[in-house]
Amino acid sequence: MTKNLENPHPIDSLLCENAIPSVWCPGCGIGIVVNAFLETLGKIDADLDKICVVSGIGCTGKITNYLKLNCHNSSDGNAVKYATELKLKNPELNVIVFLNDTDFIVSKAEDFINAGKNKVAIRVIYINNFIYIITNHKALPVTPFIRTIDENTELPFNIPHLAKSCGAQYVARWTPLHIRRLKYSMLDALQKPGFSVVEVISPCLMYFATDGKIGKTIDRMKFFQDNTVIKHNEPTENLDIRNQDEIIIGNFVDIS
Amino acid sequence: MCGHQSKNSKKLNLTYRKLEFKIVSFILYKEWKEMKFFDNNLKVPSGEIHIVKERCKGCGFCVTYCPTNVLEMSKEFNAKGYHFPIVKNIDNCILCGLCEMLCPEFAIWPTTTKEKEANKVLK
Ligand code: SF4
Ligand code: SF4
Ligand code: SF4
Repeated sequence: MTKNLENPHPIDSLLCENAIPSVWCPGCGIGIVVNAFLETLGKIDADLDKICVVSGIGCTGKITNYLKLNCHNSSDGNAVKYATELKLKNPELNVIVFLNDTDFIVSKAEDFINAGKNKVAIRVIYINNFIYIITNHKALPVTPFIRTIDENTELPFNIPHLAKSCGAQYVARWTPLHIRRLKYSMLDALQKPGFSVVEVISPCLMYFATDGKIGKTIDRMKFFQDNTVIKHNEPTENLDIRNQDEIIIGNFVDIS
Repeated sequence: MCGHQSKNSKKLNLTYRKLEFKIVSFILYKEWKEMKFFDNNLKVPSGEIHIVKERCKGCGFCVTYCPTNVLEMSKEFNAKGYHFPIVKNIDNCILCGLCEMLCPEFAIWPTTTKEKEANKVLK
């Protein structure tokens, strides 16, 4: 139904066209990240048999449903573990893991830490939505609002700092709006000899759904446009997102 | 004699300089003609926008972030009940590809059609 045979989309050859439109909400940032990732794959002239994409659960877990690549949709929290073992058994593979909060920071953070410490060359693309989406929009360890419905008063977890202290060779943070820079970062991350992490702060439709004020993702995109500052090589200690007054993005660690 | 020689050598130098200048400028000119960057400065290539309306979910990223206001939301609905973008004035499109990169549903992309004509104007 959605095929266009005369003029295919540039990345249609890597997509399962029959599965599109996807399950994601209108304007979800995950689709933009997938689009950027597939275009970057075209740029590095990689052998597509030597690429494996691993995903976990939740909205990001659905990414593997739409790719015509070697894919594995792992169980809850085991995405990084699976990717690490895959890479250690098959060193010639280029393993890319799409993660969300539930996949590592909440349930199995030690796999991420071990992969970083042992310098396993997997590429982590971490899509940060700030909330649990499936289980009734609860606050996460990375939720930036200090006061929420369930009166969470924790400070948000600083993912780039964790990645750097584990020994990642490449750490960057972007939003889907900075799409060209995100693509360059992915290109760098895919070619690193060690552990590399790219955090993408993604607009999610469900932020304010519990208040009954369901807005549009375009409002969130405009928020990112107004409230992000690009600061390359910023010390990773300063990268907390607190109270959402200013989000620092850029490339923070690049060890070749 | 010495004066003549020096004059001659100066003349020779000059002719060599002129020749060199000509050769260099010729090479530069050829390079300039082949460089697409300058072509684009003289005339922006125009193209065509492809929209698969059944894929679209009406998020509006393409309409909002198009730098030259080529697109607008339609008043019709597609099969799933979303408004999809339509092309308002294709002549303004500069083929930056931002709509393609920002679309989460792979529903819109530009292609070049009149690029050859744009190059003909130069030649
Ligand atoms: S709930 Fe949020 S992350 Fe999940 S598909 Fe919708 S917009 Fe995307
Ligand atoms: S290619 Fe650029 S100028 Fe043309 S419609 Fe898309 S965003 Fe607008
Ligand atoms: S960005 Fe894509 S999904 Fe959103 S309105 Fe434009 S064509 Fe539709």
